[in-house]
Amino acid sequence: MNRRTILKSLSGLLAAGCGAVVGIPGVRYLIGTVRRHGGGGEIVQRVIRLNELKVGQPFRVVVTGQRRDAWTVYARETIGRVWLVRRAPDKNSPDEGRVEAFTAVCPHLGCLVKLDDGNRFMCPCHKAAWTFDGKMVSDEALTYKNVSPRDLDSLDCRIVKDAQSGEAWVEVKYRKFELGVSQKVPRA
Amino acid sequence: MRNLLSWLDERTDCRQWLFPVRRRMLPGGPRWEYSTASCLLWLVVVEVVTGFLLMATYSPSTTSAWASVHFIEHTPGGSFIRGLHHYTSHALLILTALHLVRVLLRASFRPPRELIWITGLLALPLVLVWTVTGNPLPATIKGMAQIDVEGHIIASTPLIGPIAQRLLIGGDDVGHLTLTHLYFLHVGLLPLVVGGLLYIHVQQVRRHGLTVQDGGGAEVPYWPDQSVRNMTVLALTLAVIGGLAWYYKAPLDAPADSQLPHTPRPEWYLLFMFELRRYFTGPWEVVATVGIPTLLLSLMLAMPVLDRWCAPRTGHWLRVGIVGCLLCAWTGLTVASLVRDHHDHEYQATLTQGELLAARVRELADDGSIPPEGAAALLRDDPLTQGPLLFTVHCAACHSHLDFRGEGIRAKNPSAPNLNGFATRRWIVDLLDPAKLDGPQYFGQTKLVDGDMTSFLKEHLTDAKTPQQKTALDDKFRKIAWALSAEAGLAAQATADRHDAAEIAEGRKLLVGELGCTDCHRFRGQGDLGSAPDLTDYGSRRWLLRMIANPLDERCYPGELNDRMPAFAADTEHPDANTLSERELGLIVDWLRGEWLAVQHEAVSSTHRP
Repeated sequence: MNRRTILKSLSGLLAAGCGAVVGIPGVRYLIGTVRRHGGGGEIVQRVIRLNELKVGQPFRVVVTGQRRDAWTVYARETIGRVWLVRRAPDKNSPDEGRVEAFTAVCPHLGCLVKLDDGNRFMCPCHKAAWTFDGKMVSDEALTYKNVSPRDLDSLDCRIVKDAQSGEAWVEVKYRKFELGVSQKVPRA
Repeated sequence: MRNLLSWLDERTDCRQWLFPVRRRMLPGGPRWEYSTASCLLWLVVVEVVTGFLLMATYSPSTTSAWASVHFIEHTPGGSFIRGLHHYTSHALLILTALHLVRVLLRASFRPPRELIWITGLLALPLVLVWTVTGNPLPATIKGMAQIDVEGHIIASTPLIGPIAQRLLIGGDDVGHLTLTHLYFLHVGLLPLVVGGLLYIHVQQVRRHGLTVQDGGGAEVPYWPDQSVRNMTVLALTLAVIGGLAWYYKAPLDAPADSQLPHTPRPEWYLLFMFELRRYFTGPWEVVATVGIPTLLLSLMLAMPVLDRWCAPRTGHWLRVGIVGCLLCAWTGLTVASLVRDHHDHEYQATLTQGELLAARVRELADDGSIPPEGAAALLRDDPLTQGPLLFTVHCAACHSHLDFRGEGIRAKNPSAPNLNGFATRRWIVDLLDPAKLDGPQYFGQTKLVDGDMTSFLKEHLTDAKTPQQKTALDDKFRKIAWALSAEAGLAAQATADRHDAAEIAEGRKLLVGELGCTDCHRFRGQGDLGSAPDLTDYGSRRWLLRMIANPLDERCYPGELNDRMPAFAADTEHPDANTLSERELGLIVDWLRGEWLAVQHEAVSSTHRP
């Protein structure tokens, strides 16, 4: 190994060191941005009085809460929309019947699911459709391909009595799910 | 790989511009001093790379700039990247100065290298402006105050000044547009212009070669003989920058807020301009801000011409003279300014205050919630920050707020109780001590000094003849004091209040019973209003709000009872007419009660326990 080779390697090493000083934290910084998640977690909230819901008629309510957008925290904002469907009383729930809740986020690409004219939930973006039970409507019934990867995401939901007024309220456990996959996976 | 490179090379000649140093020969041998050029170029690259990374997060607006920078500080690697960006800008300026001195002494401006000299000189003030436009981007108090003053300096330039200032500031006052304009200059226009100048600069150096000194060695290839020197200097420089970035981090002062005072100073490298302006006041100021810098730049630009006129020896001494004068002037002015500020106690106090504010706002922001109004709102709604400011303006004419060491806010004319520790046990125990009640810390300088309360306490004290009776009485008063203090519901005393619930209950009984406080005061439904303040909820948030809003309220000091305390928010129908808004009132009260977002509430309470 002659002097010139040593000098060349030394230059290369020093250059690599300088590159690393900027490069390594730079890559960490960029990865940090990719890894950052928001909107995870659950929020339990009373959304509506039970007697405002008609049996069999879906009703859309909003879930409000704290929303974090990078550095800003909004104390109280609409963070989600939920379709509620009240079922008629049966032998499992003799008094008031039960309420089912579905998040209004389309599992395909996240558009807001609406009610179509008939008796279906429908996403306005690609016309994916679900029954009031949250089940995907078959391609045959639709006469076109239903693009939804899965049924509407159901949410835990129960009826609670207000301690003071004694009124029955609908309480929803709201959370978000990963989009575009056939399994219902809670978002981190 | 080799094939791909050949394919690319045939079409672009990339081998030639990817490895230009390979074939370059260096007549006269390698030298350490040559490395200023290469090091400067690489530092510009570091600035561009770290700057690009910061651009991925930074958001220029007065509500989001500080918050986004604080966010960067909490992103992995972000703090270090920002530190590199910050300290590299300083290193860039130092190296630029060194480089300039070197090429001036070596007379590198001689034909055919005039263009290298001219582009370099033109880039110099632009690099300075480049750093100056970067400093206010986090929208800190210091940064925004700096750009405000710099705007006014620009405005003092004849003819184009006012227009240039409005273009820079984006209106009359600093704000959103100032930040977007600075951002545009910092990451858009200046990089383009400086980049263009540097391109010509470097291209000309390639074309004409380095200025070779006499007495050098034989011709050697640039790579690796000179490269290893360049890389060593760069590595050492980056090591220093990296160390600074790692240990000290880039500074982040409190977010700008027009309500918070600040005495701006330029960065250290521009202090000489600040000092220079002291000697040129009034209409002469423009000499310091525009005249002298322009003159210097013109002199430098004219160097190739001047050099031709001079004999070689004269030229040499002229160059040495210029460098010596500039260095002396810069050092002298900078030191003069630093010394002056060092002896300026008022300025030092604002520095300390600034550091406290910065630490406080970081503490609040680290807690994780910056409201949509921006980080400045954290301090605006913080009792610990606003309390002393409001107290000084509105209360400190009469009231002091001094702790047992005598530190805090001293009243201009102390003539009302010292409100430090108001309603704490210590405060009320002393209040019920007749020797202290009419002393300067309490009602000694008010008309209540020989009121019924003082005589009542003194009577009780003279009743106690034997030491046993005295001890028993003191114990009773202590219980009453604790009971009264518990009425305030101070968060800092919550544990103590819960712990001593039995003694507090006894104190309450003594209040309405044996000691007959309710003969004059009202307390929890007993006694009448009008002759003395209501003791129910004494010192609580509600009680204090009522007291400060209107001391003449029947539950406070109605009629003749009130000495000189003004009503600060008596008009409930026209809140605008009041001296203090509801928000300000709340901030003062929360501060007096020691209630703000803090890490250690209980630590405070332990010092207040008697």
